Amino acid sequence: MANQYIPSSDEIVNIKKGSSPSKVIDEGDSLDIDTKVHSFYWPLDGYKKDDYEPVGINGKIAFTRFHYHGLCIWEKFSVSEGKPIVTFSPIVHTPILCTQSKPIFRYPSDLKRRIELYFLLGILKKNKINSNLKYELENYSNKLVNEDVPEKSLFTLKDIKYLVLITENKKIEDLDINDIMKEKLEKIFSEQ
Amino acid sequence: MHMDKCIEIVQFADELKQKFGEVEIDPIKESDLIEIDKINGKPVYSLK
Repeated sequence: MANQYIPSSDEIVNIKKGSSPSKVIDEGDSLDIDTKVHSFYWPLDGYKKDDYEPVGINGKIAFTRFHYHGLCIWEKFSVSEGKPIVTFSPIVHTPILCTQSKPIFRYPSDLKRRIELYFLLGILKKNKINSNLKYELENYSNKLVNEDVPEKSLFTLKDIKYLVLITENKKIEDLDINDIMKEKLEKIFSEQ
Repeated sequence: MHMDKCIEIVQFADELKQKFGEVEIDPIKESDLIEIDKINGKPVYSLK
C-alpha cells in the first residue's frame, strides 16, 4: 500500500514529495519575533557540508533564509490542511513557498549581498512562483530530532542584511505582524 | 575599489556560481523588473 500523507500536528509546513530533508530540528523562536522555526537539514548543499534551511511561521507570515544574509518574507501563500506548502530547490535546498505573490526588494548597498540577491532572484524566477496545490506532499514528523542547531546556522536576525518580500502588501508596515517585528524588519529594509 | 577588494568580490561570485551553477538559475534581466516605489530615494523593485 502506498504511503498515505497524513499531516502531523508537530509539523509547521507541508513538504512537496521528493524534496525532503535528512532531519528536522525545532529551533523554537530563534528569530525572537514570536515565530516557530523548523530547521531542515541535509548533509550537503552541493559542495559544502551541513546545510540547515530554516522556515519560520508566524500566523499568516512565513520567513525563510537565503545564504545566511537574506531574509525572505512570505505572505498569501497556498495552504493545505492549514499549513504552507514548501518545496526545497534541488542541490542547494533553498526553501520556496507556493504562492502567486511576486518578490519585492531593494538592492543591498554591499556588493556581495547584491550578488547573493541576484542568485536568489534567479532561483525564484526559475521556480516560477505558483500556488500549486496539486503537489504530492509528505510527512516529516518522523524526521524531527531533539538536537541543537549549531550557533552559526541558527535562524536569527543578527546576520540578516537584506529582505525580499514575497507578499501582496508592498510595505512592511502593512504586513500582519506585531509592531516590534515591524520595527526590526523596517530597520533592516531601510538600511540595506 | 582596491584590487584586494575586487579579487575578494570575484572570488565570492565564483563561489556562489559554483554552488548555485548546478541549479541552472534563470538569469535576471532588467526587463524582468519593475520599479514600484522609492525609500530614502532608493528604488524598490518587483519581479514582473
